[in-house]
Amino acid sequence: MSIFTQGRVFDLVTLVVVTGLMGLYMYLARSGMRVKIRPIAGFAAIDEAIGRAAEMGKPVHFTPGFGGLVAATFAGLEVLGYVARLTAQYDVRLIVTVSQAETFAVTEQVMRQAYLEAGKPEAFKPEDCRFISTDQWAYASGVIGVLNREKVASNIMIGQFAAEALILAEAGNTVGAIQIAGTTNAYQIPFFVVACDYVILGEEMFAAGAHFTNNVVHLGSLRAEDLVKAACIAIMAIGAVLTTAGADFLTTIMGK
Amino acid sequence: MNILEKLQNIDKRVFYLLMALAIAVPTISPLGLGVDVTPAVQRAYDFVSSLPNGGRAVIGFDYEPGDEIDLNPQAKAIIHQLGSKNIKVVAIASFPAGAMFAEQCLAILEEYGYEYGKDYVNLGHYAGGEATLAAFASNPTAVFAKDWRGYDTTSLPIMQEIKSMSDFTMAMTLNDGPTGGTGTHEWVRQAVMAHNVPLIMGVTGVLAASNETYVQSGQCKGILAGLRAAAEYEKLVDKLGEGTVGMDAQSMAHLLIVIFVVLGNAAMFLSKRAKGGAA
Amino acid sequence: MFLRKTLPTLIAGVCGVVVVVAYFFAIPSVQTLANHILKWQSVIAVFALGLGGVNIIRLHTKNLQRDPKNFYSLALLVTFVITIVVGLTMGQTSAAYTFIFDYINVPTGSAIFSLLAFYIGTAAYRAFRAKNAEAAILLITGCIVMMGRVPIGAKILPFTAPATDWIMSVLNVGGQRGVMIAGAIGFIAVSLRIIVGLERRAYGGE
Repeated sequence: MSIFTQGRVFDLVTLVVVTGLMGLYMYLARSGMRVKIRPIAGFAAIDEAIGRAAEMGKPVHFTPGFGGLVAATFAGLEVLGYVARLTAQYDVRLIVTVSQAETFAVTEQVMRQAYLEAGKPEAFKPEDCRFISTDQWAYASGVIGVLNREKVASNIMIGQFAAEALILAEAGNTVGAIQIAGTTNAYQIPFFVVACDYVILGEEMFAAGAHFTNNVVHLGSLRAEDLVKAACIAIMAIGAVLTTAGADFLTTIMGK
Repeated sequence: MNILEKLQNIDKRVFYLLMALAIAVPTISPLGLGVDVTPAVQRAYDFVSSLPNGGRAVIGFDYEPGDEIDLNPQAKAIIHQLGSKNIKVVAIASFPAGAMFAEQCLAILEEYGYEYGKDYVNLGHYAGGEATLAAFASNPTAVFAKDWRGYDTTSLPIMQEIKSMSDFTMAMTLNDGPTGGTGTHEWVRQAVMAHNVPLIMGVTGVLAASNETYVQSGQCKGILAGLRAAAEYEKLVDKLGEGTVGMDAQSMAHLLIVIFVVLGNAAMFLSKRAKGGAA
Repeated sequence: MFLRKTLPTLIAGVCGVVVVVAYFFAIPSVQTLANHILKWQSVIAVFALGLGGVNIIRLHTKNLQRDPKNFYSLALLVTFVITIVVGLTMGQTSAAYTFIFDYINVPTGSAIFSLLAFYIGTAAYRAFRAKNAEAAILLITGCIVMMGRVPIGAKILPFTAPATDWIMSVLNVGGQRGVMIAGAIGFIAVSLRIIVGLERRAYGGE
């Protein structure tokens, strides 16, 4: 009897190759390999959004969305680290709203750390990191309340968002805030596109660490991700040709 | 401001008022527009029809208040079909509210002579999303020691028949998205890929686009999307209800949005032409 | 340092590797351990919920201390306490708890959700302007799908129903798969960084 679970051997090989590639490029990046990334307009606009809030003397609102501790939320928290450092430097009030309990503890720690890095640990107010509710619509109405009552100048929403995306974006639009949003949920991206000033599209979010901190691990990982994507495109193209020609060995291998 | 400029900048409140009327009037006084059954819904219906009578289904009530508008009618319509085929039903919920919705929807099974604990059970809410679903798939009673009503699950006849996800003849998730609870992707991974149990999905309208890919890949046997799918399913099982009534309101709401978009664009073009002529 | 960084990284690494190994290999002892880890995960998630509850009480109590007329904070605390007391003392299947769910929780949730109908209209009206070729394609596609999705559309413009099916199952699926595959690769990268302790934000900072 094989120790491999049937039907998952190809998946295992794929995972080993992908993680191996990522590990290799993280190592190469740490060893000095140069990786350049293209500028992402949504990230570049964050300085402008915080500058605007500083000029107007109004707060900035940030939310990592409705997701738990998943990859998109971590990408959002990477952006939060940068936003919190900048707001601390410019003495701009930052209000962060969170919907999931497990995300809350990490979010508060990220804010605390960012204020410390900015040299202003005393400026961090725990009551400005707010757990709203795990209920989707209670979270949405809570954020709408914050946007209206606190009259925010800038609204940054980066993380995992579901049906509440448009409600939050329209509420931000109504209070006249400059809005930057990003999510990996493909079906929510159009809502952000119609209601926000800048949108970070899907996987662009994962470049946050590389963009803001030039983190070499993230840069190496991005290079590996691009290579894996290229491999996926090649496999899809070959698979399409083979299947059209009636050869099914690629799908048979994938089913192993 | 001339009429063309006004049409390009109609006050939001005017739209809100018209939208409220467009939804309220057909809800109070249905127009009876009716729906045609689309291939996607027919596929889901045919799949459930093809299951052997007396099988076992696990249904994930993965939604919260707000989304029940789309998903409760879907759940009720499909439960009617399961009831008519004498398929035993196990309900689980990745949101606390999902267990309450399950309780409401499963009550339909009493019409078909089902007995709680023997033919159907509501196991209630689980925290932890996909990780807990994976644990449930390996050993259901280890995750749910007690059901929603407080009974020991090991003492329930229906749970004595189920040792793992593989013991189900079908799985269904009624799902409002990947955030907060267990999403459709997680169900594909844990039910289909890990245990080879055929899956159907009932999702809110907006999720149809991202889940259609699973139908084409064969990982999902059928997808019900939004209130329209509920109305179509109600037609197929011959139990007209909330879905059918709601479609009239949805029709008028969509029409109103399209009219506003067309008006805005027509005014923009005419305004440009007028300016061009003047220049 | 050990408690803040090394220990969490070790726990995350071991748990991550065990669950991955259990998925791919049929080794009973590893699979049993993975099942235990998955059960612990759901227990920890419940504890995190308690932490969130404490934050809500702390924030709104402070709000009330600052401004005793803060009706919103007062309403939140009162309903919070009532729901918990009813749930704990009378049970989740009791008539009182069901009443709170059916007549307060569900209608308020539905009311907020229904805002989408209003907001989607104003957002579409504002954004769907054919200012260039790309915007025109977006506008026309959006209108066809909106009409094709409802019975009245098929009656007024019969071509919209089959056109919608084609748009959704061909154009849309292609685009969605692209975003999904790219997102999944990103997810693998982040997960790998967490398991090996290189995703600093997962542990709260540097």
